Amino acid sequence: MDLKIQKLLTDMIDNFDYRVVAKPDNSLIRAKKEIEISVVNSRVVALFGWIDPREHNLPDFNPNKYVIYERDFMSQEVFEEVSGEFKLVFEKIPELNYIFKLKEEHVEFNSSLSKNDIEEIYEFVKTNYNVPIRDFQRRTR
Amino acid sequence: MENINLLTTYLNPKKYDASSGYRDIHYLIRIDSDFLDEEQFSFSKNVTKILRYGSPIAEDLAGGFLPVNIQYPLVVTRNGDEVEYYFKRIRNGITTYVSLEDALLPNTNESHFLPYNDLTFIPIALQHLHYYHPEQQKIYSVEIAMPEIRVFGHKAMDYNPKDLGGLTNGEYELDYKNASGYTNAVSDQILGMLEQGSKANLLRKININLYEQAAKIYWYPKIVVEQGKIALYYEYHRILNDDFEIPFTDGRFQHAIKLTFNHIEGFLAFMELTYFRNGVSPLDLWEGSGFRKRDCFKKYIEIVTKELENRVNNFKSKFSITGILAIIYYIPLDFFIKEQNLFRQQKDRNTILGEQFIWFAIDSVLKIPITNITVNVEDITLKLFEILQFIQQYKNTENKQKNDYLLDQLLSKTFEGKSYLLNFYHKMNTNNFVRYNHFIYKIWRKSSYFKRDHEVYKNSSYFTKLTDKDQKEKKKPWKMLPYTADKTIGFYTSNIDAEFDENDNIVFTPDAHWFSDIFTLFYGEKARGIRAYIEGDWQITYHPLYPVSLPNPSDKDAIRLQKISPALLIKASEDKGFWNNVGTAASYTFDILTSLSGFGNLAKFRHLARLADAAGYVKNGIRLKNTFYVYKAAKGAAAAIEISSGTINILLKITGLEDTEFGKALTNFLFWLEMLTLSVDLTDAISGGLKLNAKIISKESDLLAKKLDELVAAKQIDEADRARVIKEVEEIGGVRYKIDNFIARNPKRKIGAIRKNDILKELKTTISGEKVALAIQKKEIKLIRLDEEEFYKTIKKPSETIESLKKDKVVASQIKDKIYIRNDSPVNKAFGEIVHEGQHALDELAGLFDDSVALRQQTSQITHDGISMKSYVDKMTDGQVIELRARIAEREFLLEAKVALDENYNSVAAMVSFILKEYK
Repeated sequence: MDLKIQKLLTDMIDNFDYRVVAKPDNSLIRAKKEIEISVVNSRVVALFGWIDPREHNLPDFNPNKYVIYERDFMSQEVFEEVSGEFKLVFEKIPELNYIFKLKEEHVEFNSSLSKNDIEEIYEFVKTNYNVPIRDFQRRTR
Repeated sequence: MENINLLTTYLNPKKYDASSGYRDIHYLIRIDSDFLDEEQFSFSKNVTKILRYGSPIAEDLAGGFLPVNIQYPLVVTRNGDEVEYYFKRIRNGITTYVSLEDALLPNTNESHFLPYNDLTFIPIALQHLHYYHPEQQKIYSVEIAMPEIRVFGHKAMDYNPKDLGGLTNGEYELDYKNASGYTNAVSDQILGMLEQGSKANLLRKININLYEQAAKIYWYPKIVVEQGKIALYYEYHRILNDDFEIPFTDGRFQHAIKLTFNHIEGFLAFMELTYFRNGVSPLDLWEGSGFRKRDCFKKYIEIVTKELENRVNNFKSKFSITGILAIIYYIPLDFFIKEQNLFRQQKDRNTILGEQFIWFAIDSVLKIPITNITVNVEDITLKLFEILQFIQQYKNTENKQKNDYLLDQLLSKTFEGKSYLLNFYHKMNTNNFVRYNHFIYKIWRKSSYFKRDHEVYKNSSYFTKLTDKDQKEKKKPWKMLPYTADKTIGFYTSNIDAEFDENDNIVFTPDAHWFSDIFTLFYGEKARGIRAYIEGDWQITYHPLYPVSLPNPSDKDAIRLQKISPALLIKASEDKGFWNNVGTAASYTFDILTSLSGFGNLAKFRHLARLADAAGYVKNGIRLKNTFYVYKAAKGAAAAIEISSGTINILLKITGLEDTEFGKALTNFLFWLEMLTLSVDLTDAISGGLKLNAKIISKESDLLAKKLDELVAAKQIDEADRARVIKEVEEIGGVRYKIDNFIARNPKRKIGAIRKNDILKELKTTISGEKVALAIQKKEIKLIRLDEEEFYKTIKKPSETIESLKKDKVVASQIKDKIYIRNDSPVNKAFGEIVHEGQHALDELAGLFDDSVALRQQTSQITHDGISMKSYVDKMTDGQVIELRARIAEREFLLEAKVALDENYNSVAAMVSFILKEYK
């Protein structure tokens, strides 16, 4: 796997694992110093979920693209706002472009990635991201 | 929001034309420190001012300015750049002042007039009229300019950012709603609200960048497409600015004004407002040199052509047509005769803009409900006809031939068994109905259809006896129809009835108008005088275009008729008159409607049926997704009424009820809905009528529920439809509707059966749920509903079994940005759980799971149910604090939604001790 891609994936994994203290050169941490934390987290976590095989059996998963503009429940106005956040995040974390390509209404894989590359990415996430769920993340009745 | 149409007026190149009628010039001078520095010389370049053309001055100031109606002279105090406004009163030798703030109060009184001994006042020379600009917090005073003071050049435009009334750099919305010819009529208000509420706002966004240097600039901008956005650069004139060196930065000359448009529609609207509407034609490319006009319009045409090409090439469904129509809407007619080669048989262009394309657009338009809602399809359709006429003009010099061509086409092309001519007749509404009929009249007048011996009339126009039901004996039709119409006390009457027959010809019979019954009811015996009967047993059938002579057409016709009119125009006048009468009757009194609804089944009405049609389209999800919006134009608050297509259809199904109060209310309710779409100008009556009747319906909700149950039983509607109808009617009735009704009405309903949109909508009715709903809508967090097995599979740890999770009764979970919930959760539990897990997700994304200090600090500041959380936070672990936050959100929601609380939520103390016990 391309080392740059591997670094980006590691950055994401470290960022979303509460047990890990992220390294100073983590690209997400860098961006969070410049723009709102929740903007970085929410937009990157969505993309991370899209390449995490564990989420591939969720109802609206689409292997070809991560849809930004959900016309069912998103007004054009909200879309513009969301799209602006994605643009901002891609601008502040240009490393994202190694894997993703931000389009007007969706995100897709960088066209230079082969099917094999993508499989490798899936495998990497599956193997390296294993964060146990915590008590409070479940609601019992 | 500033009204930046000031800018379009300012940039209008025709503003000084002798013909423009802009003779009187007024300035609104801003009374500020600049004004004082310039020794109150209004025409100094450094003084901020707004130019106003024509009078009275106040006419178009509504909105941005408040008139200041105070009889005392304006004075100011000054502290550096700060200027404060006062009015000076001398009474009985005593001088006092009232501050602007106090003067604007609705109840200014004597106590507001104070001596203000410690202040120094500067008298203001301008004392004609004052206006207050609340956003800028500045007073503008009116200065009337004498003609000789005009300081404007001709070769170039005198630019001064100060002339733009304080307009500063930033993003604005272009207001072209009013400029599109909308009035204050109900329909336009409805449209306006629709547009404002929809994506239209985004299309209107325009970014303005002004350079401070006042100097001469080119009249026309350079149009540049930069990073997908259209930018207009108004540049400084290279030759005429001797006294100032134009800065050269980033490889280009500094612009004076730069406008960037978010969307092509905003750009097109700007061009329309600034140039085409003011009589500038994109065809006048040869208007001297140095104006940059040619380049400007060349680029304009290039952009428009390309956009149309794009939209045509991406023409996937018949509904893409609205995208194309939207563009056509903004283009000046001249565009279509531009360089005529657009209509030549050139491979690339002809298909896009030629006749074939226009017909294709017209064909497509017929397949969608024509209304002015969302895109002004009606207006654009008429424009398409005008374009066709233009094209014919170019192709043929003979008037008749060109008009014949159009009418031939309109008669021979058919859709759903009817000619285009009649299809559009039935589909047009309100003033466009009138425009359409006049348009037809105009081309008809100069066509061979104007002659009675036209082939088409041979078998379609004839006279028969009413007694001859089989119409065995057809005679030549009368040339003269003894039609008279009148308008008395606001009601149109006529002596002839006009109906379409099955061949789409029009049958005229002598009759007293049905409306005379209303007169009788309203005016009793006096009504007799208004009735007009003709004794007779004749019946005449005319082809819609048959030229009928009328004895005395008058201005009392609902649509202006001519001495010789096509039969269709008489029919149109009758139809228009009918609806005006209904409107007039309604405006007289509400009670009269009860009698109107006596003729019962409103669904039979032509227009109402059309409404149902439109709703039907919507129902199938083709248009506007699932919702058909009808907006009410209520005074003051612009609250929107939302009625889904399904509801209209279902209500229509239960019309024709027995004579109960409910039945009457229902028919009236539908009637008012119909009125709304027809836009008879009855603002108050409509909103009042709708509300009142909706209230009655919901008061009788048992009856409504029963009727709906019958429909459910008959499998005509489903449970969801039933709930929606009740809800929507209640909403319009102003019955306070909240999520508690929703939950109380359907406590056992499963969350999986509710549309995501509805979940979001319900959540938004509470303060506590709104945050989560908005985050879901923004896709910051996701709501995922799963069946039981799938749910457990997704949230289980590798070490766990599904059985153990089941045993623990795990019902919801949050992982990163996702809220997982079971499809079979009942709504009285599920909503609270969504709020709970949503709070977790938001906290995690905000970094609170990783930041103990922030987590504790933020939570300590919460006061829930009147109790500060600080002391609890101090006793808790981080995990417990995280849980506390989610439980607070959930509990607040449950309280707001009036859901019964279980033992762990009974009190704050119970909740806290549960957390301390159950979580580590």
